[in-house]
Amino acid sequence: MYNFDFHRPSTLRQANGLMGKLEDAKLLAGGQTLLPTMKQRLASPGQVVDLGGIPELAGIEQKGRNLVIGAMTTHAEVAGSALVKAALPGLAALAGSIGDPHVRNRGTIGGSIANNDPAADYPGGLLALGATIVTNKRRLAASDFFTGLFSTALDEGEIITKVIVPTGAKFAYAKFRNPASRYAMVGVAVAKKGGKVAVAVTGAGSDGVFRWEAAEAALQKRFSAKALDGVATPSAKNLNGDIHASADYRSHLIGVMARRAVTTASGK
Amino acid sequence: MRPMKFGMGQALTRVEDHRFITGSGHYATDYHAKGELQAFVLRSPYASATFRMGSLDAARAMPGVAAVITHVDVAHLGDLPCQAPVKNSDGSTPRAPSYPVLPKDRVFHVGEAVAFIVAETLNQARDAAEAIDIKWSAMPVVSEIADARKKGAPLVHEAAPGNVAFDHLMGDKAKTDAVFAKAARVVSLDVVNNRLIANYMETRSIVAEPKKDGKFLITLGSQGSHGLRNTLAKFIFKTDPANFRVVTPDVGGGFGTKTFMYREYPLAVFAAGKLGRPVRWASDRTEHFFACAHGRDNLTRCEMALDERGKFLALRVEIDANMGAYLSQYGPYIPWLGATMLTGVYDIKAGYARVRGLFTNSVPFDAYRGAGRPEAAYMLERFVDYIADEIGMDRIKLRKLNFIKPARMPYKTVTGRVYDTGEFAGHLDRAMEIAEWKGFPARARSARKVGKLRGIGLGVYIEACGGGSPEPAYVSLEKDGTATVRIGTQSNGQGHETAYAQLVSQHLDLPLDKIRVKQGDTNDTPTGLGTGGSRSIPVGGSGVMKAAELLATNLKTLAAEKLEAGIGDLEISGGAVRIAGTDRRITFAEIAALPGAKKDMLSTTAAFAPPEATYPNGTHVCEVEIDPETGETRIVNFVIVDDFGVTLNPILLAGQIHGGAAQGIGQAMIERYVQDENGQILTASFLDYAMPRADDMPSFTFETRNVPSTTNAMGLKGAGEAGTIGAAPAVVNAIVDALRRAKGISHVDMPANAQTIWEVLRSAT
Repeated sequence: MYNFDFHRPSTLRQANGLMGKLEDAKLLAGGQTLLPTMKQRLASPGQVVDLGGIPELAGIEQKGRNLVIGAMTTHAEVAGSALVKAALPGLAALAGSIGDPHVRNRGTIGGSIANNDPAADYPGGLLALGATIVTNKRRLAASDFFTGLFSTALDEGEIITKVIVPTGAKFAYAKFRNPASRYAMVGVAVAKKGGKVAVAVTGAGSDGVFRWEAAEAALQKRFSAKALDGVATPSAKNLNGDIHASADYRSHLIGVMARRAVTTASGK
Repeated sequence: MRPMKFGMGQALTRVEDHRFITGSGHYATDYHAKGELQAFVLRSPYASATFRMGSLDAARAMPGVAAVITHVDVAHLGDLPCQAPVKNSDGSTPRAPSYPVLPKDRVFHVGEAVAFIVAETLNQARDAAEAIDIKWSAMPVVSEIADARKKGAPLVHEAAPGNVAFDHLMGDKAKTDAVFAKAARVVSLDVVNNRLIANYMETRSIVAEPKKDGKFLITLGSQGSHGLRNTLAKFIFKTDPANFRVVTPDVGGGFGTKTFMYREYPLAVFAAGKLGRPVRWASDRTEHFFACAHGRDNLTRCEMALDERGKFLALRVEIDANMGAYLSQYGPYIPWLGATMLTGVYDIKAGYARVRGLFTNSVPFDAYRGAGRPEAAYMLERFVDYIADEIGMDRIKLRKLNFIKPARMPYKTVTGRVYDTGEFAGHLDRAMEIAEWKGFPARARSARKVGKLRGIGLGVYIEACGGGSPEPAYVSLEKDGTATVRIGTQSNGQGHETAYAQLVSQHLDLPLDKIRVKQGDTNDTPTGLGTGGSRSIPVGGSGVMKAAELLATNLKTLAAEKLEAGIGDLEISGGAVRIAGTDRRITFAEIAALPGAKKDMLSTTAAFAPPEATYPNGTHVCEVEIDPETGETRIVNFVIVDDFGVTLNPILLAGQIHGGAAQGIGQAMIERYVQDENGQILTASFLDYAMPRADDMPSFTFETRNVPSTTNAMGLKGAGEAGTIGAAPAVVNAIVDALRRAKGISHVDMPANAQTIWEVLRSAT
């Protein structure tokens, strides 16, 4: 790790002020990616602004038909939240499947989506659920927020404040873990609300999280794992391949995980 | 042997565990010397390159930097020695390439050390390393065994044509070939033994402290401090070993690879001497992947000649073993040792192994738990299942037809091994019974109904361990009536403090907390050969047992005079000597205070020279369930029945077997180290190197079916590596059984991970 200056603002306003003023500053949320990267000297920000001391970024609320999750809410808090478990049990299960207890107790929803690691779990879930990402400047639909591998619509210094997740969907997330890292090698999130079905795939796409429209169309006709029989899985051309899983294997697993998510979501 | 409360065979919990599980263990990295400097190793980013070191002035001028050490500073030191060369088949001993403390202008693998930077803080050392300008010029790369043996492949070392480090023939080739020429049937198979990293928990580290008298105190994690002291002194610094005191505190795992000399050790000692201050270096986990010896990595061709009934007539095997870029301390010995176990539990009258070591641009190889025997056992047991499938014979019948029968013991193999005992059908039958082998078809049918593929498989192994040179043990009575053991083996977590104390208690009848076991300090114990090859209990323990027995006799001799009784009337009980059947007794503390209790009476030593290795053997049965949709395998049952001769402590033994089997399962199912064609490491951290975790492990059913060894007084057979040796073939045979039943698949290579299984199922469809 190189030396850096550490800042711990106690309000969003202060944080915003610091980000506007400081050169070469990085926001620190749960630190599950930033800190290891800094330790390996792969990242070397001169200034680190820790969001951990800002009360307005924490907590989970039900507001009308939405869950409002503060950006600094940890995965363990989402997984254990009675509100989330009642309104969207599949989202609580998704959060409870991230990493290990250490990671879940430090990692945050805001940090996860700001980093947009292609193997992260939240992007697929939030895309399928049609969540809205709120920053200190604006509101962004999940579909506009996630723009590619490790990239988002966030401007330099822009701070995610909360995530608004509509409730009322049948929702489930199924993933196939990388045998080494246990990250999602393929993760499929399925949400059905009214007649609308969304299927989002994480871990596999060479350009990050994406919607699988062919599956959505089939599931809109009949929300059952069987509806996916005969639906071609996403082309391997657009998927990642590495020593752990070829693009073909990932393509196949998308189909398997989608069926499993559908089965779970429909409560069978 | 009479049963003692804390002696042989008792299921006692480990005396060291309280320390370990409450966080009060003391490891090498917990040790800090006053005023110590921190060292960082600058390493090669290339697998094969020439280089020119630029000016070091900038780095040396950086804040806190005490020294930047490169080849020129250490050119006077001796090379890291290969201490176990293997001869070529023409009788010549190949010359090992020079393995200098730091290379001059040529590197042969990614991560090879090129400079040692010492500073007040680690960050300062790293900063200085980044200020060193090196001009690299990439050279052709030989990444894997397959690349090394290609015609016209680039040469890793000019002096090794064909990249061959050695080419050894073991056994009678002419006789074997003659049997093959006349055999009714020949079956052949190529098997891969995947490359592994010994991922013990505590990474390597060293603190080297110069002392006023010119000597050094060296603290490091090891498998025996004497061996490293001697190598440092004799081969590298060319000085009297007495100039180095090497201390190993608690050790968090070693698995063989902590036995060996590594470049950071002489570098730290040299730097400490030059600077007159203690120097510390500790490996981080990623560094561990390219700074610690690797394990396994063989490509093997095996052929069996059979008669019409399925009797094995002759076996020939060609083993190509990766040596990496240099010959590590025992590197060549590993595949050679494995080849000596060529014919395993089978009566095969002709056979040979051609063992070739090949250089590649990769980290050097050395012993990793089992060291050659897991490779041999996997090769043979996978091959036997394959033969059964090829000739259409039941795999159990085929094994039983070919087993060496107990009546044939002692049995001399074609490679010259002499097995003393072994009842292979006995543990095979017992393991199958526990595993409910007969009920398998019904379980397979039930699994099929829910879309799962079940398979059951087994491996019957024999291995050679617990031999070699004697290990002197020293047992003494202290003034307070407690006892102390000093020995040059080194617990890496196995529980030696408990095991040795039990052996002493067998004769002194003391509770374990009254017996101290001291290991790891070259000043405390005059000699030591260290822990490796499952030798600590069969060899070291035999010495401890004998020394304790001698001490008990001495104590009785002293007591006899005081109690005015004949020695034959005395017995030892509860820390005292008493006249049997009376309450007339004298405590050990009182004996220690007697005028006749001279030092030579209260301190005894003994060493046991094994005439032959011990041959533990056993059967592992594994049952798996495969999800054909994803290729994932779940182990649903795992049964182990082993013959360890005699059980010293069933709890310690089960711990060794569970841990060993976990490593075998890891190799069989997920672990593998991968380099790309440029020699770059694709699995340099746990993000990509698949370590098995607790939830990958089944619940093991383990029992012993012991047949005492005839080659040591206690009847023990070494148990430290057996779990690893038996597990991998059982797992892969179970997986192949499931795939064979579903799709007629007859072989998969390790690691049989989900992707591999999905691929073979898909291509068989």
